[in-house]
Amino acid sequence: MLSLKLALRNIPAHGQRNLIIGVVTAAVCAFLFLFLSFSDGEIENIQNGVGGFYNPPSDILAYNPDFFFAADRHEPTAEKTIRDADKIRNAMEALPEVQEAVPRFWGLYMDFWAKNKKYLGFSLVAAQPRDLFLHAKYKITAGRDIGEADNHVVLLHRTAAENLPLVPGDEITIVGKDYFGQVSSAKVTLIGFFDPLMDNPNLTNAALIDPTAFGTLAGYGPDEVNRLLIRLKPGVDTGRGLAALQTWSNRSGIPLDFRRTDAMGNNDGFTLIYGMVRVIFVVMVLLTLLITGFGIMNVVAVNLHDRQKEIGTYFCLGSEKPFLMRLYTWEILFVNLGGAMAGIVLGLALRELINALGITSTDPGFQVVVGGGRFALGLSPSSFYWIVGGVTLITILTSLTTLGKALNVPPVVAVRETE
Amino acid sequence: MKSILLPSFFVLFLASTWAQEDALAIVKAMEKKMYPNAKTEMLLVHITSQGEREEYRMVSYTKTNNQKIIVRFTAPARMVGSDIIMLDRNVWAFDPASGREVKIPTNQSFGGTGFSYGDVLRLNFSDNYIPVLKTSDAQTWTLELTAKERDAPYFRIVLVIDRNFNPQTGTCYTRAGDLVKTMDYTEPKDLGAGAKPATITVKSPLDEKEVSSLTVVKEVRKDYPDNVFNKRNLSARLEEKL
Repeated sequence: MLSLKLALRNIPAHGQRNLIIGVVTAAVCAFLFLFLSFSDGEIENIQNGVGGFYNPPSDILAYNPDFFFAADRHEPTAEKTIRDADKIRNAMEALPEVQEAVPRFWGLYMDFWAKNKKYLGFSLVAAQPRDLFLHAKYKITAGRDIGEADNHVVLLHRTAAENLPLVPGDEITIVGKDYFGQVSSAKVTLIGFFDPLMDNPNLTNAALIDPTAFGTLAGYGPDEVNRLLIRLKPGVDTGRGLAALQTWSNRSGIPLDFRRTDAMGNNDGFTLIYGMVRVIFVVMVLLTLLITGFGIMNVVAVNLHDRQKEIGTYFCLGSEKPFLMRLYTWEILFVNLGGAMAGIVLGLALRELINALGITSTDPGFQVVVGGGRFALGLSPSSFYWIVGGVTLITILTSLTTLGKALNVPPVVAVRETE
Repeated sequence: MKSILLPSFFVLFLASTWAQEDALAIVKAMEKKMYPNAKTEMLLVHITSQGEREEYRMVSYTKTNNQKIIVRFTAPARMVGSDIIMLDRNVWAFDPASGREVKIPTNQSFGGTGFSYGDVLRLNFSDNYIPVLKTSDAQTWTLELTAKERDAPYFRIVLVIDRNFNPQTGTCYTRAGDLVKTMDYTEPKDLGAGAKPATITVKSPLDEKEVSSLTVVKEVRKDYPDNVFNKRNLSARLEEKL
């Protein structure tokens, strides 16, 4: 490719101007990389914080075999449960591929009565004592954590300790509607307060409750749950894990519907909201790149105007316009891509620096904006792809739309003494 | 031993079946009296725990032992047009803003009051519960009603019915055995078919300051045709032309 070879030779030949263009591109890309990193950080915070409580990660989900049939027909699914969940969990955890199987309920929203006062709107989360992932997401600020032997106990968010006249040991009556719409209640003992490691205003009304009390409030019998979250051992392929579970299900005669979590789509409302914010961020990045791209192309057009002798020489040597379009497009693409890569490297360095500052806050507004109590710039391959892809696409587009005019040079300028 | 046990079990089984059927007959007789096919004007008063008073006035059109019912609000102004229809276990509310019917759960609280939509429209004892006669005296029967399905509004209700088939009290319990609501049936009035309680007062032991009451102001017996009890009729208002 002669055009490619000539473009690579032209870049150092016009080093000063290309350096300016590259620096501008790098600065813009560094800023945009940080912009997308902020969005990545929001999503990471949400998944580690609120998502960890309400929609914890798993590799495979196990459902009642009739669950999706009912869901597809818009029929109530609350009855489509897994019974003997504890026995099934133990059997699954005996499989070499499975690290842990966690019985999981849908959420419940209920009111609390304590000391003759009513406290509205608590979001109940069943805290399985063996769910290591969930227990790793918070620390206890007063009292103690929920253990295997606990029955009818509750943990409240640390802000409840500050705002409600409740102390560990108090009895609370929880009343609300179960999954079937029936009024349900349970008397529980407050055993402590938890502080999420990645706090968020959406967690302040969360109440962690033992699975037995949760089942009662949900209208379920003992060991009856909505689904099982299955986490595979590190290094085990999800397909292999799925096959092992299906074989186990067939052999044991316990019919279950296994689904890959990654194929289920994202049903976590918080991640969906922040995912939508990210889409807006990406659109803003592309618009910024488009505007910057046209600005750069104007500089390139001026640059080419100053290189009319060179262009005229190419024409004198028999070059056609499409060849020169290719040549100068390659040249500006390499300069811009080089700038983009430098910008990303600069962005990565700034990201490390900013994250090292460890900015945290308990302010709810701050937590909503950054998705959690810690300002963290995240990292995802998509940020890299959007910037590099955006720069490539916009450089090509702007080249095609602006270079043609700059190349309208008569061959005679190659031999002119002056302009 | 075997010769004694078997007949004893048989007698016990028959006695329990008889008691259950008898209890069901009492509940059905009470429902027939309380919920005739009629046009009924009602007043719902809700007093919050902060002492605020809210009033809802409504007219209901009922059929088939309250299996089919339309409720139209006449006050307050913000509720006018937000009418409700209940067909068997399904409740729809009309949304005047969109002109559409929206399905709502029977157990959803009615405007934040102590009544659920199911209570306002009808607490269907005979369909949703298995009644068992627990005690009886010269004036009353005490029945224990246990939910047939998990979607009944309360897990267990202790219902006291007098010998004229008028309910006196209803005490609602959750599956965990907690008392969550008491219903007192008071102010007997002859509304056209003999005296029956005109007011139901609902309280919760958890919040004793909060009180809701539903009073039947006027009741006119009338058989409405089946085509009236259609969710499309929430906007068509056919029953008003009959």
